[in-house]
Amino acid sequence: MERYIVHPEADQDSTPYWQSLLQHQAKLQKCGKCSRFRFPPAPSCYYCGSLGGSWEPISGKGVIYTWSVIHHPVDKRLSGEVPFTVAMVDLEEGPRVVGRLVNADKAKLKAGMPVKARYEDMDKELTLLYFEPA
Amino acid sequence: MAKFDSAIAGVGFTEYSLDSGRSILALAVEACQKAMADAGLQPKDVDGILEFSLGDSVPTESVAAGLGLPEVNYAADWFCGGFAPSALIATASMAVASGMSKGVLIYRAMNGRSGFRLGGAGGGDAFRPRSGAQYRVPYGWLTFGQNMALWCRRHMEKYGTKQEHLAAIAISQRESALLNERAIQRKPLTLQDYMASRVIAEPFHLFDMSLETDGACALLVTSSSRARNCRKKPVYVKSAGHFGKATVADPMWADAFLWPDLTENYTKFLAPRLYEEAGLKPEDVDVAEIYDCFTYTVLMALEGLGFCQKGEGGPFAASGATGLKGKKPVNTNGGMLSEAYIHGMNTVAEAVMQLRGECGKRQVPNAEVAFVTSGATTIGSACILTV
Repeated sequence: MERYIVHPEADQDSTPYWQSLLQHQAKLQKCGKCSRFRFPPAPSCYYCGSLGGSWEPISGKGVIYTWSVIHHPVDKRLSGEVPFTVAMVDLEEGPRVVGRLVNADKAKLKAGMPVKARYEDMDKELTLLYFEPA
Repeated sequence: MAKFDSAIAGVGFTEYSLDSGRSILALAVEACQKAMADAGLQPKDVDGILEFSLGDSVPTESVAAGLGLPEVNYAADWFCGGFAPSALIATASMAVASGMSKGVLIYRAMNGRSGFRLGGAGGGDAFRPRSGAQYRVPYGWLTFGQNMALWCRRHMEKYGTKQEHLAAIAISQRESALLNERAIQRKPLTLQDYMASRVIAEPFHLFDMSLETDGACALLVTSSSRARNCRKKPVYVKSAGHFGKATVADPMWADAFLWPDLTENYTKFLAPRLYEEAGLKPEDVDVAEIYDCFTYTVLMALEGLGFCQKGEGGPFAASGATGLKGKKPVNTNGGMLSEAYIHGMNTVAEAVMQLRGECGKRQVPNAEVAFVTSGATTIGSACILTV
């Protein structure tokens, strides 16, 4: 069966983020004025409106905010992967990001559970952000 | 403070089905003609027309032509989801208040089951992994149902909301649908049926999710004074408004990366304003027609509209309070979970008919105030209607 690999349509704002995943060191933008990290990538700070900012490495550590174990594949290429878990993770740097949650007993999942990033290479041009219990 | 002097003078709808076998244009024209007939108005009395869609409908110019409107002085096509209906009522009210338009038709028309399926992952621009969607689609997070499942889980974690609470919402609405001849789902639903149903995206089972429907629904908004000369009792727009906070654009929905708390939606922020503008309180609401793409959307609104305390939406629904004979009847037509999914327009139509006392076996006695919501998450609109 064909594996589910969907490449994001990266834009000028998001390309550095996707490139950082390819290098197995996630980076997010940090505001030069208020110093807050932001996600999703954007040309200006969501919190103070300041333009620009720098791309800074993040620790990959965070806690589960919420999750869903998905059973219905919707796309037939996902039929071999269900059930899989999608999580929203609050990073210790602040932003909430999305990733697959793996290596976790789904009966024991809790909001607030510490997780750490792992990088899942899909092909030569795409690495996704996965999380597993810390 | 916004003041309104408008009314909904007519509602119209087609048959709701899984396969209309008709063009979307035919559905739209039929619903609009029925709304005009309901109001007792002619094409010369209508010069405004509004609709919304996600690229799955027909434009206002085609429908205006199909209706034979002699003049179109106000028209707009919104590309958006279910937050539109009440917001469109608000803008139609502005158009009639300013004198721009005498009467405004608002419609939503779709072959949502036999044609473009919003809940699927089928092709088209709406499903491309771009803008906000680029951060979820590669992970297999494809649908709005999955989105709401993530929202719902947070409520369960924070407040102890249970699967049985979600089930109670689906079951209560189904009981009302049994008394609604238009409802697509007219088979009794038990807790056992609910629990045994397919799990789609935890915590959602099949019956937590709205239907996919072919059909159209239309409203006719005019000034209060004109409405008093129409065929049916006017249903007044006491207050109406839109609320949104910053979100990152996603082709399909308002994403939640920047929304701090997924246990509450726009209703929490919008309802206090609408109550104040209407001079009414939660206890004055006789019937609530709540946008219900999913059971959890109803739960958030029960709290947001002030019918129960924060975090208590689940137990409130499970107490029977939202049933036809409960203290706060909700989604008296069965809602989009059981009547039909016309993207929140049939939600408004039911409120109008309840206030006019036209709902037969499912009529809430002496219903005079209805709260209507449109939308699910970070962006929404709502209105308070009265007779």
